Order: sequence, then C-alpha cells, then structure tokens
Amino acid sequence: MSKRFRVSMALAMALVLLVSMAGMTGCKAKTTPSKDGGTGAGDIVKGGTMSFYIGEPAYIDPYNTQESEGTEVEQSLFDSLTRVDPLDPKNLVGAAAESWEPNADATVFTFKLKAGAKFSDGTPVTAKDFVYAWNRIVNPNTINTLTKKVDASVIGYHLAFVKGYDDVVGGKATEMSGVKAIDDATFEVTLSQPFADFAFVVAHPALAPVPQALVEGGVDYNGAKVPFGDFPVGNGPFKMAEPWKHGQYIKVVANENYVGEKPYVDGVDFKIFKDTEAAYTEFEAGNLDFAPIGEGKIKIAQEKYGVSADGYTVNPGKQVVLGAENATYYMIFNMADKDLKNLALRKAISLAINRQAICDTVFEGTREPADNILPPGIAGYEKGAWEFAKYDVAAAKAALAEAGYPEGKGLGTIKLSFNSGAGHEKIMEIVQSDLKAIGITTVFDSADFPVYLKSLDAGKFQVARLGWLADYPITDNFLYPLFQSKSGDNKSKIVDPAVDKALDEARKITDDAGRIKAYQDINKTIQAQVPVSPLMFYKHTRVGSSRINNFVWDAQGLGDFTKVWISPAK
Amino acid sequence: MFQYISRRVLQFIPVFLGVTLLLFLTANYLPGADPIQLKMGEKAIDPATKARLLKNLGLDRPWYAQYVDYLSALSPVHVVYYDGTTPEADPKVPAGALKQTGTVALIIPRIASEVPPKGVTTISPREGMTYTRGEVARWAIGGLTLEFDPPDLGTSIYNGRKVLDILGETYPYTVKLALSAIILEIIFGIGAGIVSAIKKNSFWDVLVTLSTSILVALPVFWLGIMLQYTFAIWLKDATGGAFYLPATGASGEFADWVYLILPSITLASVSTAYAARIMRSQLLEVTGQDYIRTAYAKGLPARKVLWGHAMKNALIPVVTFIGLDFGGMLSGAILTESVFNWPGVGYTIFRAIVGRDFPIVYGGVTIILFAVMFMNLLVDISYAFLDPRIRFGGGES
Repeated sequence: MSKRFRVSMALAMALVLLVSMAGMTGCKAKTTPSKDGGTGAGDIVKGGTMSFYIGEPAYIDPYNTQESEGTEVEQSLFDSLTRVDPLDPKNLVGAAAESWEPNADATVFTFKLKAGAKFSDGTPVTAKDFVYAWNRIVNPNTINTLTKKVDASVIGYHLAFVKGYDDVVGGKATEMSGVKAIDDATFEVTLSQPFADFAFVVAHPALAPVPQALVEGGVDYNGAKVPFGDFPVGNGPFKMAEPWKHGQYIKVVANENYVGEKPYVDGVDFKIFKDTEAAYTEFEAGNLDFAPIGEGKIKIAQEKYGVSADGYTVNPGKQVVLGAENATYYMIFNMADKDLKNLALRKAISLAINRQAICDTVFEGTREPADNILPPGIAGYEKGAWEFAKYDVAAAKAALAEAGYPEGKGLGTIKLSFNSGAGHEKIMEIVQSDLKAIGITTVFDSADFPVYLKSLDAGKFQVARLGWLADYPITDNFLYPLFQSKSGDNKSKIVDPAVDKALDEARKITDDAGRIKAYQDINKTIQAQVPVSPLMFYKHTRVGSSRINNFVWDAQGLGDFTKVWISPAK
Repeated sequence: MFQYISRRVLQFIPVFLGVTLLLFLTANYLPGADPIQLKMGEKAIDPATKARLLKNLGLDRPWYAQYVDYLSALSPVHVVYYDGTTPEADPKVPAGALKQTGTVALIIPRIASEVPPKGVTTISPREGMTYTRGEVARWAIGGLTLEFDPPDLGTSIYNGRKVLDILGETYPYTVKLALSAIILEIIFGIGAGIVSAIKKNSFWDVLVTLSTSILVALPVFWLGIMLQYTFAIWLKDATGGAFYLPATGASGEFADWVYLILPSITLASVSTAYAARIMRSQLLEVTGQDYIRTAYAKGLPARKVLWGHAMKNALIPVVTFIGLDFGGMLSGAILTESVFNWPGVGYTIFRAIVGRDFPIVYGGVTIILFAVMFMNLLVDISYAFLDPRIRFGGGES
C-alpha cells in the first residue's frame, strides 16, 4: 500500500464519519399506528404505568404549589373541593365536595364533603383538614417540612377574599375567622366581600386538604420518617410510590383508599427533564408517553402522530394536542406615557398588527389570533369583543391621523419592550414592520427577564409584551387583576373608577347568566379604552404516545390521569 | 513536599475569599427584579408577602451582612462571647436544657433549624430569624465559648430546600460523569496521540489528525443529539431493540453505568481531541531532542526510550491540560447535562443564576471552588513524579 493511498484512505474514512453524522439528522423514528384507528373506544384495559414529562417542580406540597410542574403532580395526589370539568372549563364538578351552596349575596359558601373520603394512609378527610390546610397557606410563619424553617407560601392570594385573611397575614391571628368546620362533613367559608365565582377558586389544586399529623410529624416510608414536602399524602386518585427523587422522577401509584372513581392505570411516572428538546427525544425513543413537541417539529409531529380531534384528548393515531389554553399573549400600553396616553394612537397600534401572520410564521399555526383578552374557553368570551384587536391597515392609518400623527408625522420613536432570549424577538420583528407600514417607527428595548420585569413594575416602558394564564377559568381572573386600578398586575395602569365599581358589583351576582353578562359589559368598557392589545391565544403543543388512550390534557394544562388507559404491548 | 502542600492549602484562603467576595458583590449589584418576584414569573406578588419572604431569607440585609452570614454559616467553628445576663425565656427550649445562659455580646451568627436540639442555646439577633449554636459540640471557658456546627449553605429561594441537600444529590452525578469522561480522555486522547506520533505520517496519523479536527469543530450538544438519534432511536428501530442505549437519564431499565456511556463520550469529545493533539506534538518534540538520540545511541531498545525517557517529559503539558479539564468538568457540564437530562450540578447552578437563586449559586460556587483548587494541587504534585527536576517547597526553585 503506497503512502499516498493510505492517506487518501484516511481522508475517505474521516469523510464517511462526517457524512454519516450529518445524515443522521434526517433519521426518523418509525412508529406503527395502533390498529384501533384512534377512537380509544376499544375495550378498556386496566394496568400499566404512564410516563409524563415535567420540569423539576418547586413544591408538590399543596401549601406552596404555584407553577405548572408542581401543580401537575399535586393534582394527581389531592382533590380540592371542586374540579373544573377537563373538557368543558365553564363547568364545575364536585371533587372532595359532594355539593356546595352560596348564600344570597355570595359571601358564605357551605361545602358538603363526600362521605367516606380518606387520605391515602386511610385516615378520614374531614372539614378540619381543610381549615388546617387553608390556614397553613395563609400563615406567614408556616414551616417548610423539608427544612423545618419558616417558608411562607406565595399563593396565599387565592384566599384573599376569606374573612380574617388580613389578620393572619398581618400576624394578628393564626387562623382565619372565615373558615369553619361546622361538623366533620360540613366546611363553611365566609368571605370578606361577595364573590360568586368562589366555587371556581376552590377548584385550584393547591387548596386541597392536608393531614396535620403527617405534615407536622413526617410520613413513614421504609421504616424512616420522610418530610411531607417530599412525600405528600393526599385524598386524590394517586399516592406517592416513593419519596420525590429530586431532578429525576416522581412516581405515583393508584390510591386504594380513593373515594372517587379509581384510575385504570397502576400509576404515573412523572419524569423530570431539564430541557423540552431532551424530553421530545425521549418520546421519539419510545420511552415517554406525553411530552412537549420540540421546536420546529410541530408540522412533522402532526403528520407522524395525527392530531387530537378535540385538541385535548389523546388516542392512538390522534396524538398531537393543539387545543387552546386559558391564556392570552398581549401587548400593554403605558397609559401614563406622554405618547401612549393618546387613545387614538393606542387604537392605531392595535389595529396595525397582523396577528394571523405572527401565528402562522412564528408558531406554525399553533397559536390563534386573539380578538378578546378572554380566551374562548372562558365563560364570558365573545367573538370579536375587542373591536381594535384585529388587523385593519386602513383603520389603523385613520386612527393614527386622528391621533394627530398622519402617516406617523410628528410622532417620535416608540419603544417596544420585551424580555430577550425567550423567543419574543421574532414576534416583535413582525410587530415592528407592521407598525412601520402605517408610519410608526419603533425601537427594540429588550433586556433579560429580571431587568424587564423591574422596568414593567417601575412603569419604564411605552409598549411591552406580557402573557396571562388564568389561575381559574373565570372572567374575573382576567379582568380584575389586569384592569382593576389597584391590582399589581395592572401594568398599563388603567384607572377607571367605573370599571373598579362594576368589577366589585359583578362579583355579587349569584345568577351565572347575569354575572357573565355583567362581565361582558365591563369587558366592553375596558376594550374601548385599549389599555392592552391582545395578540394571540396560547395553544397546547404536546404529543402523546400511541399506547395511551383517552388521556385528556385540559385547557389549564392539567392531565386527567383517572380516565387514561394503556394499550397492552403487542 | 509537605511544606509545599501546606503553603498551597493556605493559598486557598485568599483565593476563596476573593472569589466569594466578588460573587456577593456581583450578585448584589445585578440589575433587575428580586428573586421572589422571579419565583412568581410575570404574576405580581403582594408587597407584604414579598417583604416577609425577603426578610425570612435574610435578603433584606446589606450585601456585606449577607456575606458575613454566608461565611459564618459555612464555618464549622465559632468563637462566641456570652455576657452572662439571662436571655428572655424561650418556650421552645426545654427547661434545664441550657448549659450556659446569656445574651450574646459578640457573635458571628449562623442560620440553622427553627427548633433547636436539646442542650443548645438559642438566640434571636434579628427578628424572624433563629440561630442555634454548638449543634455538634461546645466548650466554654467563662463567658467565652468555642462552638462546633455542621457547615450550612442556606436554603434555595425558589423551592425552599437546603442548598447542601440540593448539591448533595446533584454533585455525585457530576463527579461520576467527569470521572468517566476523563478516563475516556486519558485512554483515547493519550493513546491516539502516542500512536499518531510514533507512526508519524502514516494512515493512523492522518486518521487521528483528521478525526481530532472534526471532533474539535463539532458543537458538543449537536454531537450529543446525534448520538441519541443513532443509539437510542435509530438503532432501537433498526435492530428491533436488540441493541440500543438509553436516550436520557441516570437510571432506568438498564444498569446504571450504561447511562454514562453517551454523556461521557459527548463530554469527553472535544478535550480528547485536544489531548491527542498535545500528546502528539509533545512526543514529536521530545523525540527530536539530543538526550533521546543519545539513549538510542547507547543501544537502548525503542520501547525503553519511549516509555522510560520520552514519555515522562512529553506528558507534563498533557497532564496539565487533562487536570485542568477535569477541574472544569467538576464544575458541571451544562450542555451535556441538558441534552442527556443528566442530574448534575451544572444545570442546577445555571438555573439558579437565571432565576437569581443566590444561595444555590453561592453554595455551588463554593463546592466547585474547593474541587477545582484541589484538582490544581493534584496536578502540581504530579509534576514531581513526572520530572524529578521539579522540586517543591524549601528554598529551592
């Protein structure tokens, strides 16, 4: 073999190595669609374990679950008083409560608990467990069971309407006067102000009962005491199989003491990932049953795995869920700014943005143009209710002229603020060019998230972006925090005493239809002032494996693990 | 040697103080929202709750007070002077449990559990905070007391867990991954370098040179993803699952060590290529020197010349590189950990930096600092064995 030949051989081998590595990018996992055509209506099979993607939760102890990851696990372990119907979020069903009744002015709510309900360790669930759990959330001196140190909850605001809340928060009392165990099965809540939608608030998974003895004394596991925070014991359909393996997994199994309908699956493995792309790879490797779809792979996933019929339910062959979430992406206008206090200018900006183009080009159609601050899943939603949340260049130009800046003349450069590195750049580029088209010159003002948040709080912005995900799917949870003049989330700083008054009045209306109508009227009043410009409704972008049937991932992003069943391996 | 090591260990102190002081200063002057607001994301938090949480965590205090808190909590030994006056009765402390009473006149306070163990004096130097003292042991001479406690790194702002617990469960995975990557680097890096040098301009030399060029140019995360697609997805399908490797994680259906294969190859890739190149060039340089020619001239066999004479000198830069690289790996590998979902310390610290979870950042940096300084010391000591001319300590230099 000549030296030249050997050198060429080496070159060729190195090239082969490089080409084969590059070629692998095109590799696709082969999946075989299930035979039953994706109806999920075949004979239900019991058993099996479903695996589910989550990020590392902050807390799974109900007293402080505020982010989606912890809530996902926590809601499988606990039942709150009520539950939002996964496929009809306008509807409430009983969970720990059999029934509930507000008084005439919606200030006192009486909940009758389900008979025979038990925690997974077999101790009965009583009204006292709710009293203890709720006070634990609000008490500023609550001890974190993991560290035995004071670690106050950040979600006490859910119970801000309960009578005595301020006294407990202020350290004047340790128990809210408004929560009472009338008897073991009757839990009575007195509010400091009327709130007809309160039954939706108590559906929040964090407001579940907890067993005081185990919270304070720890949970027995393999002959040792494990802190409640790592091994919460609840009244839900599942129970912890072993203590939380931080950074790796949380395993739950069916709770034999559950009073409701028992789940079909033996358990759920919540696998903890750092990165959604890694989770999708694990899904494609066939080791994960429910995962977020990797960036730029939504169209391919739709072709490969089929799209869910209702957007929320996964069945074999109809595995990609793209249903609308109860969340809105919107631009906020600083109404205290010298330029943006001009109503016609706000209208012009709102009318100039091509929302459809953003949804199609940036999000592969997985977001929907918003025509309302309320998403379609909320009871008060009306199509096109926000009349300036649409793309109408002629109207935008007319509004700009009305504002005193025909074709943008005389208007200075407007600052577009957003947090960098989170994918907003592409959206803002479209907004910028749309505004340029009607004559408004803009300049980007991006900063990392902490700096951005601070500038919003300080009111140092002109036009900025935000997203709002409802805690509970009710109109009040959008309109009150975003537009009530004293709310911390009212970043546009809209101050309208009429809106404030109407929002308080609407909370008193116990008749559902009447209340929804009142909120729709308030929504109309608000939208006429254009404090914000809704851009898009968020949508799910997740995919389930071909072996899971009838799995519902609802508009709040919570999985219903009680109805899912797993096809046996072929 | 002993003198040298003790001098190096003493040098840790200014390095440690310098790095941590700089860290506290930077953290304090970072612009933007506070960690409590970041925990809530875009949702507002009521000012009273925020103030309370900041106070609970000691974040309402000036940075230098936080720095003293940190140093004090980390230190296992404290000298405390009790002035002998009786403190206010504390219902949490069992009657008769106090060996020594007195309000504290001079202390460096430490943060510890809310309910103190028996036999320990509790004091509350500032509202909302309780300190325990002398958890392990205490010796009192008059009012002056020497107290021993386990080191503490505080609690995470984001999830309220002890930083030592968080690092305690992630760091072993970082060490495991770093060790397996460094073993690959030593075997394949040095091995390929030697082969390449002694068979200069051969097929193998060109192969090593080309492959190392390719490996150096490949982004680590891309290589990781490609390995996943090949071994976890493509091979699984192509072979019907007869031969495949796990895509992510640290445990599951395979033996635990199998989960290390793909991440350690990924982590080692670039450094292995560098190690091979350094080894090759060093060995070529050394073999061209007079003393090697002399060794050959004296009739020593090639094997003895290579291993006995050339390698020792050629290895010094390689050992330096690999040692420093190992120190780097012990600081965590954010990209490899993300791609393979490896539960190491790198991503934990990265997340903490983004979320301004300062106690984790401080604690993580502290552990890494010790690991890296220890590795550097080992590298320096190894020189003595490779080259007897390098002397340590004494007045020689």
